Amino acid sequence: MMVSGTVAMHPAERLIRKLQITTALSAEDVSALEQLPIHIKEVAARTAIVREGERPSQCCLLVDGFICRSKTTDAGKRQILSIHISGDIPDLQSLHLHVMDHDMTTLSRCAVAFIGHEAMRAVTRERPIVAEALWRETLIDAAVFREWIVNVGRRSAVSRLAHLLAEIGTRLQVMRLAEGDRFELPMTQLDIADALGLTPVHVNRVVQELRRAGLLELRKHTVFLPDLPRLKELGDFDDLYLHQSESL
Amino acid sequence: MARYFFHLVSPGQCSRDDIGTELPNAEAAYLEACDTAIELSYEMLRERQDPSRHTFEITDSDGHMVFELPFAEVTRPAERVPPRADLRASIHRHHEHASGIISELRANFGQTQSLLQSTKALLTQI
Repeated sequence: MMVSGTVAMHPAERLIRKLQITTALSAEDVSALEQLPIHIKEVAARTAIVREGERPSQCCLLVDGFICRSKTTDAGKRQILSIHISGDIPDLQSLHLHVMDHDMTTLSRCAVAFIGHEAMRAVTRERPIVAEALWRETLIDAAVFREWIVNVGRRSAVSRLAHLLAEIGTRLQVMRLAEGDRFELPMTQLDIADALGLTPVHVNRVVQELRRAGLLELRKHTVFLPDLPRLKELGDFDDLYLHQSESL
Repeated sequence: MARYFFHLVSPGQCSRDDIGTELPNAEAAYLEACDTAIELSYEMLRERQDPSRHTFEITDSDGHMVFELPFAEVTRPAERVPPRADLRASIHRHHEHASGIISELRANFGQTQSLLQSTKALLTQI
C-alpha cells in the first residue's frame, strides 16, 4: 500500500480533496479542516476499528488503506455493506447516532486519522459549508447503500462482481488513487463473497468467467480492468449514485 | 488449511477451477460445495437450465479427486413419507389393479389354450 507516501501529506488532505469534488470550499473552510486536532494511528489488516454496540467518541478518517463496514447475522453470516477508500470518513454517522449499529474493520493495513467528535461538531457549527459538505457525504453514503441493495438483491452473480469492481475502480479514479484501470484491492475471496452475498467458490467461478471474457485480470491484490466500458455494461453500472460532482 | 478446486461438470463440458479455495478440511469443502450448488441452481433455473444435470468434482492441490457432488443430491427435497392412511389406500388400489390384470391374463390364457386345442383338432383332420 501507499502508507509511506502519506507521511509528508497533511492527514486531512485526502478528506479535503474528497469534499472538494462535490463542494466548493473556501480557503477558510480548508484551513479549518487542516486545523482539526487529529491523531494518526497505523492499524493492522483485519482489525476492528469500531464494533456494533460501541459508543465512539471520535470519527475515523481513512488516510490510507481499505476499510469495510459489515453486519453479521445470528447464524454468523457476515454481509459487507460498503468498502471505504482513502479520504472517506466511514463512521461520520457516529457524530449524531451515538451507538454503532454495525462493525467497521480494516481490510488492509491502514493509516487512520482519529478526530474527536467535539472538534468535529465545533467545525461544523463554525463553518456551514463544511457542515453541508459532510452532510452531503453521508447522503452519498446512503446512495451507495441503496445501490448495494439492488446489487445483492436483484443482479446475477457475474453482474454483482462487475458492479463492485466498477464502483471501486471509479471511486479510486475520482480520488486519483488508481493508475488508469489498475488498482490495489486487498480483498480476499471471502471478503468479496461477503460483499456480494455469494459463497467464495461461487465468487471464484465468476472471477474466472470475467477473466475469460477479457474483463478482469487479477494478480495477488492488483486488479486490472482491461475493458471498463464493457464491464460497466455487464454490471449495470451507472455512476450517478456516487454523485461525484457539484452538479449531481 | 488446504486448497480445494471445484470443477463444474455439465452435460457435454467441464468448467475447470484453476484458482481454488482455501478451506480447513474436506468436510468444510463438502459444505461449501453444497452451499454453492444451491446458489448456482438458482442462477441456472433463472436461465431455464436444469441444475440436476450438473456435478461438482472436488480435487485437492495434487489434482486427486476428493469427492463428487451431483447437484441433485443437494437440490432434491428429502423423500416425503406419505401418511399411513394414504399408504393403505395406495396398497389397496395397487392390489385391485394387480388382481384385475391377473384375471384378465387368466381369461386371455384360457382363450389362447382353447384356440390352440381347436387348431390341433383341425390339424389332425388334414
